[in-house]
Amino acid sequence: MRRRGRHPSPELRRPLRWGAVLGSAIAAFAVVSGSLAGLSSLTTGGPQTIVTKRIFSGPRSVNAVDVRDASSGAESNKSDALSFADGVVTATSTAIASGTNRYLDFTMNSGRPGGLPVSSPQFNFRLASAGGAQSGNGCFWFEVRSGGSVIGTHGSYAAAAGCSTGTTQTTISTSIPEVTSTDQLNGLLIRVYPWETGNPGKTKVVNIDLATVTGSTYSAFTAYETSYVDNTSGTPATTPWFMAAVDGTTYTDATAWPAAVTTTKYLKLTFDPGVPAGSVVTAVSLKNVWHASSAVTNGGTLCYYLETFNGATSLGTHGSAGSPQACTASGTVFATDTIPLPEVNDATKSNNLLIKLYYWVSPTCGGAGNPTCVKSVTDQAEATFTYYLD
Amino acid sequence: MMSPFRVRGARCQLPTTLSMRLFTSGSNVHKLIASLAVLGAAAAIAGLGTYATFTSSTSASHTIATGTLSLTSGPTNRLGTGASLVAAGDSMQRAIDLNYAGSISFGSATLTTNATTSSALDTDATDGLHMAIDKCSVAWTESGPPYTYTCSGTTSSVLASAPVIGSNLALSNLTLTAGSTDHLRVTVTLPGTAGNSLQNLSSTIAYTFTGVQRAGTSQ
Repeated sequence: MRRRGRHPSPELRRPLRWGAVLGSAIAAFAVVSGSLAGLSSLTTGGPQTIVTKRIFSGPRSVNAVDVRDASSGAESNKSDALSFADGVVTATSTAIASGTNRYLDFTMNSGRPGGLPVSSPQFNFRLASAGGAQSGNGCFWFEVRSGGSVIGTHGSYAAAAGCSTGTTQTTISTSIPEVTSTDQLNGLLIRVYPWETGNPGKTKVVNIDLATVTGSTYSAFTAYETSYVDNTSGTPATTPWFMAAVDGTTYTDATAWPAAVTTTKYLKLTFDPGVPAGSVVTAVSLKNVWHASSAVTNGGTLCYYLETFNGATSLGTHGSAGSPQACTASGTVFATDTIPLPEVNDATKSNNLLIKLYYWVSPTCGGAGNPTCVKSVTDQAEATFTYYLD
Repeated sequence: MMSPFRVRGARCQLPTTLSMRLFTSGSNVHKLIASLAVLGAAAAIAGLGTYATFTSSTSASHTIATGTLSLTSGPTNRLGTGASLVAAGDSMQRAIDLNYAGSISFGSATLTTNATTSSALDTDATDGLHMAIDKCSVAWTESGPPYTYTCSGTTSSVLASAPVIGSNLALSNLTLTAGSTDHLRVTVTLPGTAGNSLQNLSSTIAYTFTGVQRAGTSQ
């Protein structure tokens, strides 16, 4: 008989085949590895830790929020009515009832360094009913908007964020934890829906005394409104804060300036830059955009010089009675003066900065043959603080 | 099936026939075996006679020993020195010596960096930290801290500016010769374009230089 080879049983064929395949793969790997093998060596460096400053150096600009007009020789408060709880109120343009969806928009300034975490942010709103027959209370709810989007809603017509009682102004502070970064805070918009709870047939207006956002980055800050929109009538009316931007919204002082410098007659500007304690302030400057209230005739010019203060302590002067900081004869063309203030060189001086602008008409004004004494028109008064925090 | 030894009548072929004869005649088989034995013995004796002569031999041997490849750093190695309060536009210079300490020269070297503590400083490839490496033909002259270096010899670029985190970055213009040293200066920069999002951050960077041997040659 022809001798036949022994064949594995069918149940052994598959493992044998896989064994063959695996063996081939291992052999191929070994061959390839052997062909690629080579010597190598390594050495290390570091680790190296790199930490950045808490606040990078950069300019942060804020407009004057507290303005005192002493052109008459006595100070008059011309501050932003919505920036301080000072009894200077702004009434809604229209009587407003609950459920109307009519609103007030408050756009906050952008004076904080970007990219910083914000802690304990809150919206501070002070309001009251304007009163009158059968008047009630002032109430509101509000939205927090950033970058065109609503990032938070606080209250509703059914559950007010807060109410005052009668005509007594009451400050209601509401936490707005949705504001987590100065990137949101800068230019933040608060949309307030106010209403007055009086007799529906006699619904009254609401008086607003304060609308600010406060909180802390590395130090406490206050963000002030730079623009206010009243849409309680259904037709939005915008009121920019006149010191905030070069936009044609101006402030004309109350009384024509004198024929010679008088240190009791000035415009006094206060800024609240919120420079964090410990910051290194490398530059501060004032931008003053202004002109005369009318053309100064007969060879005269409206001039000014300024004095800086750390609270009540004089820091320095820029210009003098004999050497004005700037002059103009124009009653229409704005002059833009940027004045470095090197004496303002730390966080304390920055946060307490107060500037008096002494105006006069040079060489004289009033009387026969002399130019008429004029007022000043200010479009913007802005201070820029350049600083960093290690 | 028929056996190949089975008789198939007239169609049997010679081998089959011979086999049949061999196995069918016991005396013939014995004769055949005896004949083969005699022939084999004779052949063996003849063969012994053929190889029985003078012999001599010589031998040679050689030893093959492999070399070593060793990449080390030092004595200068400032890469462990960090930096704080870094602002946009700041740069940090740190020197490191790479020694090709083995007996085999290197063919190439690469650098791999990784962040053991990570932040946007090392993940932002555009505005985050960047590094560049250059080489001085002699040891760098150090001043500081903060450390800065000047070269009294010739400088050349080893790595053009790149994001601080990279894998197997090819290093150029290195000596790589066994027994030599390259004097490197690593410059880490936070670009001036770094924005506020990069404030108050911290990253820790580890550096690994890897060298591989030269190509094989005839020895």
